[in-house]
Amino acid sequence: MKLIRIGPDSWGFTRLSEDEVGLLRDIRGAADTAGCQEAENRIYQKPLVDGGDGDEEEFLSDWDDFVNESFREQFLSAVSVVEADLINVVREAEEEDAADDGDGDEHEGSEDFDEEFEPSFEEFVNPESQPYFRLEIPIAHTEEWFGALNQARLVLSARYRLHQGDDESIGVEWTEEGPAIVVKDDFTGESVEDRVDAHFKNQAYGFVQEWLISEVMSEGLS
Amino acid sequence: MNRTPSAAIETLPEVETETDEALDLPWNVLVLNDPVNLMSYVTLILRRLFGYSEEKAAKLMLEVHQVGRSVVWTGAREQAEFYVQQLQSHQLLSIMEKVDES
Repeated sequence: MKLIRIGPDSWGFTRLSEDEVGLLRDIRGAADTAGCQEAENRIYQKPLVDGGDGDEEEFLSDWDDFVNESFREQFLSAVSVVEADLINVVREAEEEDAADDGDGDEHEGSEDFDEEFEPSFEEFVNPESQPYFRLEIPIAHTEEWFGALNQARLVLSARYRLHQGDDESIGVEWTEEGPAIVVKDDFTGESVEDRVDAHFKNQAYGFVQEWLISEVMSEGLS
Repeated sequence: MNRTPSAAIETLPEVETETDEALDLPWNVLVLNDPVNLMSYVTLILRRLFGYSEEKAAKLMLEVHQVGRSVVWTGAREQAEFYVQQLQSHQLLSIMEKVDES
């Protein structure tokens, strides 16, 4: 996966593998707080720690009814924008095809992303021969992408207990046999496999966020 | 018959009034540490929302990260509510609290 600034009006992903497209398609599910009260509390916060002096019930109730409800719409809308953009994932044209087609449009992929795609034997044994996909995102959708990724990371962290304080609960350590997954707590609410999967999603989404901040979102700030 | 000025002045009984000093106390807007939001993002939002320089925003962000919380703005309650709403809309952990005058 590569992130590129395409021009003044867009940015995007290129060299997306099948799995990486799936990773992006998983943003919606990852950002869903359903069934996780801890995530719900993290996303939809209270404005006061302790209810003030005890006479803030009405203020807190209004905050829930109006402010948090508006956030609910805002955050859902961001995820919907991401989901709609993902419809535009296209398969990258192979270089030789692009060179041969004679239409002068070497950057255009012609095949839509196929969710049922199965790699051929050659593609399976030689990942380099697998197809890649790309996706162009309008600059105007950047905040929605960042917000959806952020929400996904917050929910993943809460649902799968990915952090203990500032420390990560799951890590990778290098051993003589190679990299090994290390779980640093005894949380059993989710399977280790699911937690590891959530950990890597969290890392990947964070990587995209870092790129967006440095290459797109900081524009105009002096 | 002329009345002297002093006779025209009635002395009203002194009435004790309660002023709600709490309304006048300033409120702090705080950002709290969380392990998910990127440090660069916290800095960016502080710059955007409050117009802080990169140096000031980065200093506040580091305070959040190292101390666990940072007062990023102090002022009238209504404005504090607005800022907390803005910070929460960007999914930063944020609260407001009355300034402790003690």
